[in-house]
Amino acid sequence: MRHRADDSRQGRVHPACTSTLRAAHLGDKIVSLQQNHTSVRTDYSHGLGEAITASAAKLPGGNYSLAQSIFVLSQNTPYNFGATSQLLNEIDLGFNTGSVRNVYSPNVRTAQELMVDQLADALKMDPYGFRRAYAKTDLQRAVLDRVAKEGDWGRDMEPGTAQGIGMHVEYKNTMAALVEIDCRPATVNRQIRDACTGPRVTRATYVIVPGSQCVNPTGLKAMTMGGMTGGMTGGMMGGMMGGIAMTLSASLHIKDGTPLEASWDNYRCTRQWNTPPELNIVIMDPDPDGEVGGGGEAGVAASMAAVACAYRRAVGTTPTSFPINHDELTFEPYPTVPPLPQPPTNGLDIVS
Amino acid sequence: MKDIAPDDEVTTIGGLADGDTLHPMQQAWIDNDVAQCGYCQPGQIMAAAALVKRVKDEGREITDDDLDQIRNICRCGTYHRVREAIKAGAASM
Repeated sequence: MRHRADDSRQGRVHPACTSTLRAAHLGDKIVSLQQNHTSVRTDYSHGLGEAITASAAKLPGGNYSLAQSIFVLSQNTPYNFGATSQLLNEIDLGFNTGSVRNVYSPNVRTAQELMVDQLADALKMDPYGFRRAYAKTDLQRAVLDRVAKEGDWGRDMEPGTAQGIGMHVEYKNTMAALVEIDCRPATVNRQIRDACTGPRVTRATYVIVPGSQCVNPTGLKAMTMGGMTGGMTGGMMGGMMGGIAMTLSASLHIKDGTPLEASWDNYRCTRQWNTPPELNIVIMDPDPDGEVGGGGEAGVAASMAAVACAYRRAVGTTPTSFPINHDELTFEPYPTVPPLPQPPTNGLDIVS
Repeated sequence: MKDIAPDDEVTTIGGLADGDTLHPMQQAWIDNDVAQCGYCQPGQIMAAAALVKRVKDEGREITDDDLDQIRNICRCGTYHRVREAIKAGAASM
C-alpha cells in the first residue's frame, strides 16, 4: 500500500560513483595524471531537452553516447600535469538517476583536488602555491590570488581546524573557493534536535570570473551561495551550500532497495546549523575575451573540493568516501507500511 | 509544554504586515535580497519573526546559536542571507 512517506522514497538521485586517480612526478614536474571515473549510469533519457535527442537517447547505445559526450565536454583538468586522461565508465544498475547537481563535476573535481593536495605535499609545496604554479591560465592565477587574499590563506589556525582551497573551470567561468572548517569535538558533537551536525564550515570565500559579462551580480552571488551550500553539504550561494552538503552530510541510505529517507527533514541537505557564519562571494571583472557564462551550479564543484581538502588538512587523513557523516543515521526511519506517525499538531511543543 | 487554545489567533504571512507598512522582518528580507525561487520564504519569514519575538520575550538578543536552531529548508541555499536578514529585522523589531 502506498502512503505519503513513499512520495519521497521514489524519484531520481545524483548517481553514486567512484573516482580513482594516479599521478606521476619526476622531481618537481608532474608528468602524468590518470583519472578513471566509474558511476552508476546517469539517466539521459530526456536527451538535451527536446524530442529528437530524447528519442536517440532511448536507442541502444544512446544513453552511453550522451554520457560520454557530456563527460568529455564538461570535465577538465585545470592544471599542467603532462599526459592527462579522464575516462568515464557507467554501469546500468537499474537505479533511477538524474543528471542533477552539476552532473559529474563535483565528484570528479573533489577527487582530483584531493590528489592535488597530496601532490603538493609530495613536492613540499603549499596547496595554494602548488595550484598557482601548475594552473593553466592567467585567469586561474587571478582567482587563486584573489581568493587567497580575501580568505586570508595561510593564517594561523587552531588544531582541529584548517583551510582548504579548490579551483574549478566550467560554464565559461573561472572559479576558486577557500573554506575554513572546524573539526574539533565541541563543534562536531554540538547538539541540535534531530540534526546531523558534524564538522562545520565556519568561513567560506568564493571568487568567480563570470564569463564575458555579468548582468545581475546580486543574482549571481545568490546562485553561488546556493551552490556552495549544496556542494559543501552542492549553486554559488545555492552553489556553495550544495557543495557543503555533498562533502559533509547529504546522502541517501538504502536498505533492502528502499531509501530510508522519507521526508526532506530526513534528507541532510544544508540547514542553518551547517551554514558558514561568514560567507564572502567576490565577482571579479568579466573576461572580455571569454564567452557568456552560466551561474546556476557554478558554486558546487570548487566548494565541495575545498571543503574536502580543508577536512583532510584538519584531521590529517585523506577522506576517501563522501559525505563524511554518511555512516551515522541521525533520524528514526519512518515505517515502510502504514500506519505512519502523525505529524505534530502543536509547533509550540518543539520549541524551547 | 505550551497549549494552543481554541480561541488563539494564528498569524500567517498574509497578516504580518500592518496595512501597507511591511513588518520589519519582511522589509529586512527585501533589503537583503533574500528570496530566490521564493517557495520557502513565507515560512522562513514567519519562523524568523517568531524566533525574534520569543528571544525578546526572554529578555536577550538573538545569537548565532538561536539561528542554528531554525529547521526551515531552503533548496536555493539562501541560508546566509536569511541569517543576515534576521539580524537586521531583529534590530528594528
